[in-house]
Amino acid sequence: MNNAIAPVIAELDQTIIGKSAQNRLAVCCLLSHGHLLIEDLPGMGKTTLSHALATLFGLDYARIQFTSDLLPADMLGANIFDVQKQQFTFHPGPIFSQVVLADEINRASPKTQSALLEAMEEQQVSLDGQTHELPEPFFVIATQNPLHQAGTYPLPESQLDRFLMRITLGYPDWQAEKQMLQNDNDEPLKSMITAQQLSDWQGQIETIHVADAVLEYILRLVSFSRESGEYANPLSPRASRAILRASKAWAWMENRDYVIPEDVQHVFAAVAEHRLRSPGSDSDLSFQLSESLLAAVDPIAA
Amino acid sequence: MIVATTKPQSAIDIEQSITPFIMALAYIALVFTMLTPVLSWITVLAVCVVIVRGSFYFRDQQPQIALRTVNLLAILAAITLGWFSLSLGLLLTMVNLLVMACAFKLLRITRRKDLTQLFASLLFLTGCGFIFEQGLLHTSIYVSITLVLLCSLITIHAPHMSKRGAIKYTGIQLLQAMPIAVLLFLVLPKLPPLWQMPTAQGAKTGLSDTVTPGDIAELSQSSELAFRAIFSTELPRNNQRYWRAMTLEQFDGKTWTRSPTRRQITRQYRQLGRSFTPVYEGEFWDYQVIAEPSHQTWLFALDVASPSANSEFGVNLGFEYQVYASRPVVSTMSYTVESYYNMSLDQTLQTVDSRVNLQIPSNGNPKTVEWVAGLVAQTDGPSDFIDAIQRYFLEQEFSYTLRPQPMPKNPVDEFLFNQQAGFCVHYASALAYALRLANIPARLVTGYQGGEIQSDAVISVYQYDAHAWVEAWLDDRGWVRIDPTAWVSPDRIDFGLEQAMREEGSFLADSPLSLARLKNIAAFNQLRLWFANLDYQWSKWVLGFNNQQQKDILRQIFGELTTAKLSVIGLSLVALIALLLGLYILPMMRNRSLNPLANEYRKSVELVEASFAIKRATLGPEDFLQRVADSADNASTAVFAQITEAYIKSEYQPSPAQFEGIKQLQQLRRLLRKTLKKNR
Repeated sequence: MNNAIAPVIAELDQTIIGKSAQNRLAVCCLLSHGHLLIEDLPGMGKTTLSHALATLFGLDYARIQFTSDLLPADMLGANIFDVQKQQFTFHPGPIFSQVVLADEINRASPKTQSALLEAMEEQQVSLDGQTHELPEPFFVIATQNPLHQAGTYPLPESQLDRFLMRITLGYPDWQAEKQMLQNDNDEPLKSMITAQQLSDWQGQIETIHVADAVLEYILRLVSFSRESGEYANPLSPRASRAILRASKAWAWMENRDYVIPEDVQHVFAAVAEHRLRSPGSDSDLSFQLSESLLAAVDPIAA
Repeated sequence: MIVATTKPQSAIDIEQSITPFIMALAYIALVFTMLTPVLSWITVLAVCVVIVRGSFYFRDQQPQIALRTVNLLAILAAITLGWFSLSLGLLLTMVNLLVMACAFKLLRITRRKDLTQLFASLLFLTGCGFIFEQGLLHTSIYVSITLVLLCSLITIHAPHMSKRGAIKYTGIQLLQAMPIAVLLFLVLPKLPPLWQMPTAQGAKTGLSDTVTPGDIAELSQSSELAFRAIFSTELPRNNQRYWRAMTLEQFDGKTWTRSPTRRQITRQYRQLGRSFTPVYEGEFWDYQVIAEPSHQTWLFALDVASPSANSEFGVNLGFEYQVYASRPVVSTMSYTVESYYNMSLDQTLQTVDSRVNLQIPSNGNPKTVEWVAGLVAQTDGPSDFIDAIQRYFLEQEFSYTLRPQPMPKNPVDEFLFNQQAGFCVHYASALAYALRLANIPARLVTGYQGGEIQSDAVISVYQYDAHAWVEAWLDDRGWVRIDPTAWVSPDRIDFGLEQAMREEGSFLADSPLSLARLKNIAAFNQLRLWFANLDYQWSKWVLGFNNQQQKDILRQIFGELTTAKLSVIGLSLVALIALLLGLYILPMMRNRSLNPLANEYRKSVELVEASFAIKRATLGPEDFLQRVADSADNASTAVFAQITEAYIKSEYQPSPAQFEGIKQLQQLRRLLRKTLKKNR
């Protein structure tokens, strides 16, 4: 584990107990400039995780609770006429934060969903012909209720694709939940690193070496998903780029300056599962499409 | 070398790609070569399916056919076929089932797997085609279909290849396979057929075992080959070439059939183990007959035949001097015959033959009965009687025609006194009946007359050479052949049917496209003879290539043969071919990786896997090291850790020195092998 990131993850593990793998993936996602989608039942710690991430990385944080009547302007902000200055001034919405928690994103109407997704993709907001840059780093954590719950508009495939990773938290095990109940302290988290440090780390990740063998492994994975005919939604080129970015961040977290196939395997399920699975299908999460894909492709050059 | 494509292919892509369409075309061509064995509704189904395929290919955005629909149709069709199977027999049912299954497979093709399955089935179906037809024409059709199928396989795996390139590539591969196929054909032992064709095809053309002259308005003619005879002695003249096929001895006033009494006698003889063995003497013609499949047991020979046994079939001589096989002739069959042409046919029991051949129907044809009675009174003895009838035929201006009027009632009366026109069967039937009425034993013989001289020693006999004549028992000479057709139309016997029918123009009138009709145009005749010759060579050398010929060829090359020597030759040749192919293919299989470094690592992994019964599956190198550490001893783990480290260093780290990495891995592998051995 990289000495720089280890304390952050240790602190995160103290907050979200017993979810070490998910914590690491969430950090990895933040480090690789990606947006994170957390899908789970209410009360599983989605909000806690995103809040803890924002605080630990010293980022400013806003939370948008998505409802079916939320309008794009509520989120992006609006031009409001200033009577004193006799002109329109822009009042930025909650989206102008470094970490945005889009809570229960699938309860909002598709119009609002796409406004958020557009901002995520463009890193900017256009309103009445004016372009407003979003802050750097810009990190969206969206949470999503399982699709079978009432009052949800499922995100279409094209928009799911915008999230680098999707993770699920799941119920904690007996020990973890007991521990959580025992030290139920409300001691607030303190920021451990600065935005500058985060940016430096992201710069280091850019320089991680990726050998041809790893690139070809990723290519074999995606092309297998396209050619085998077993996957309804084969992986797109955007997906292969996402896998590469996340693998590099993972390698950095493992304190290596090169990527090995294990890095790809560690991030693969989080990066690929929501892209492979069609949202209309029954979301039987016990069967992981990405695992079957990993089991079919040999990481060593064929 | 073809590089497989990595282009993604969705279900709709595969449905609309050219491959299924090519396969559909090959399929329909196959079905049309098998129209006789395939049920007509299955043919219609096949045509419909190919049309559907065509619409998928030529028009975009067709909705796919649902799997459920295809399955339902398939079940219904299978039930229908099951119903028909009761009358079809096992083999034909299976062929029909295969044709049907291919049709349904063609309806829905969504994956590559479907295409490869369809390819294999169609290849098998092509093989089934050879059950029914093995001629040169069909062989070339089937070879072309195979070529098309192989090309379609290329369009799956290398869609970027041009069509011409694909054809060239498959053609070259087929040619490369040719020498191997020829060698195996020459050397591998010829096994007897595994099953007998349970079908009867007698209705099609040629002879049948009943003859009803009055019902035939127009004799159907066919230019199909009946058999070929290859003479090793001089050729008989045209008017000597009476090829006997069947002797019909039962007459009911209309129809000639084989006599039930005769059947019974034959059966009794067979139970006693007695066969007809005349004493042969005099000069003879020696010839080999290659008979086309007739699905009947009768064979063809000139009188008096002495057939010699064939290795696969028993060839016997019946008491009516006819030659027959012990099983129906379902594929081209050859047998050798010596025909003693100067012998009399007087070696059977006269009492039996007379009893059988004096049978007359109890009523009908009253005018003939009256006329014969008058004639008998006027004449003196059998020869005189026959002369009197001949005179009658000639004086009354009887004519030979292939288009007689139907004579449903009292056909002999009608023919002799009203119509006075007919073809061989009418004359033969009337004469035989008249002879019987005059108390002279007589019978109808059917077979072929004439034939075309192909080359110096070969006579080809076609279905249109079919003929019927009469045999009468004259006390001093035994059975004597009398051909009333020759009295009326000498041309028919001396020059063949075509000459005789020149004026009427009815020669092969049914088959306007037959090349035989164009005999008068020199070029066409040349072409026809050339093709017939080619077909003859094919059936002689390829289809007729049997155990005996194989032994002869091998004997010429290897000297005297024993069974052991034969099997050694066969096995060593197969081994040689396998070795050569192995030398060609193995390097490709061994060199499975373009990455030598990964190959080295993989070898070490295989060593460890074998020693500790673990599998790497799709684990990465570090995870696998962890796995090894769990189950292996420390020394081996330490060495394997070094290997893993070296591999990761060369493969994944920046600016690796690949060559040195391979060297290092090779050294470490030797170390690993030693360590593993020591700790065993």
